[in-house]
Amino acid sequence: MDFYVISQDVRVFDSVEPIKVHQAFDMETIRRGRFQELDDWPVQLYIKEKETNSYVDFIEKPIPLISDKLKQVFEMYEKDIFYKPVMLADVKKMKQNLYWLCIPKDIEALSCQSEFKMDGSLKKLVISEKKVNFRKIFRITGIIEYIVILNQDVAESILRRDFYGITLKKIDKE
Amino acid sequence: MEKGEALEHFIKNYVKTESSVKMQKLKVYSENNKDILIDDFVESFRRICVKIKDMQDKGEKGEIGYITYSLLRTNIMEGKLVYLIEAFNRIWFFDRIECQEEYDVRWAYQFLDEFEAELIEKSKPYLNKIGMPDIERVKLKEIALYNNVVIELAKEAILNASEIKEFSDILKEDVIEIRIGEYKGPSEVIYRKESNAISGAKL
Repeated sequence: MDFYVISQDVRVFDSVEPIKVHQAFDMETIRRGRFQELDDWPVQLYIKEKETNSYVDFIEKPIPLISDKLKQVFEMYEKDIFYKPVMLADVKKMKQNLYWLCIPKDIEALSCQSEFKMDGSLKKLVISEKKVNFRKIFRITGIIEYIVILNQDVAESILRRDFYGITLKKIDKE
Repeated sequence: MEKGEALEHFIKNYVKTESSVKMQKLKVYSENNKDILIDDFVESFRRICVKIKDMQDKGEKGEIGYITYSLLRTNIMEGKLVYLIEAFNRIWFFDRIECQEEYDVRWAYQFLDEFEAELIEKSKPYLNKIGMPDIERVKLKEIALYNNVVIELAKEAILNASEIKEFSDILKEDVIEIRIGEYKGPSEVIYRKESNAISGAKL
């Protein structure tokens, strides 16, 4: 079984960008990955005014968000995920789009073959397949970065459903 | 022209027509090379049967209830043009003992890669209004068409494949099915056999 990291497709040049995120979120909480401090109340965020906005299905920064359509796929495969609703508001067009801050459960599946930089950030991620234990969507304990990993079932499911702005990258495993 | 309009124009004026041209090309190719393609499929089936038999002889694998040929879009998008062949017992993919082989589908998907290369060229006049994410999105949608062609070929080829000695040599469950389609998703049964004991009991 292969595993993939899901991320935002940086080649989409007009991806929607939430702004003034610090007004709704304690950014220290997000940066340090202390997601357990979050509640599940809905919040609204404004977006940067641009000529065009692509509502990509996965937003990585400044906070990680997934579209409602992607959430529906996640729900089919994994129960153990925390969601907080986030409305992206386009003031100019008077339009709102529902996104979700999505925090899958973290599991101890880091392989000792992984490598870290001096500041503790990740250099090379290797996961231990044995320790994944049938989980389909998860994060890894001991990593500061927000990284969501999907198993092959979920990756395939996403690719057959016409999503936009998502990159899936196969990760190393032992 | 805005991004949305550009994409619409591109799909309407180029993608749709060129998609059918490529499909036509593939169908002609597959008709002209039918015998070779069938032989290649039979060979892939022989390989999985040999592997099953080998694992059964070693006591690593039990009786087989399912043999599946699966399209993996992750493979196709990485340029690895193969379908995954897997063998399972009666509990299907809950059977965790891995028994896998690959079936080369380059013969079909080479036309999709050709299509993609042309899309990249043809998108240039739209300047940067159409990018790789848009082209990959088109490609992902097209995969369904190519998958259908592979399924059609498999349906014919299985008639020969199911006759080979290597298949009769493996231990089977009361019911065995051979399927082709989406990975752990919708798939078609191209062969099914119930052992006499079970059909007798039903009567």
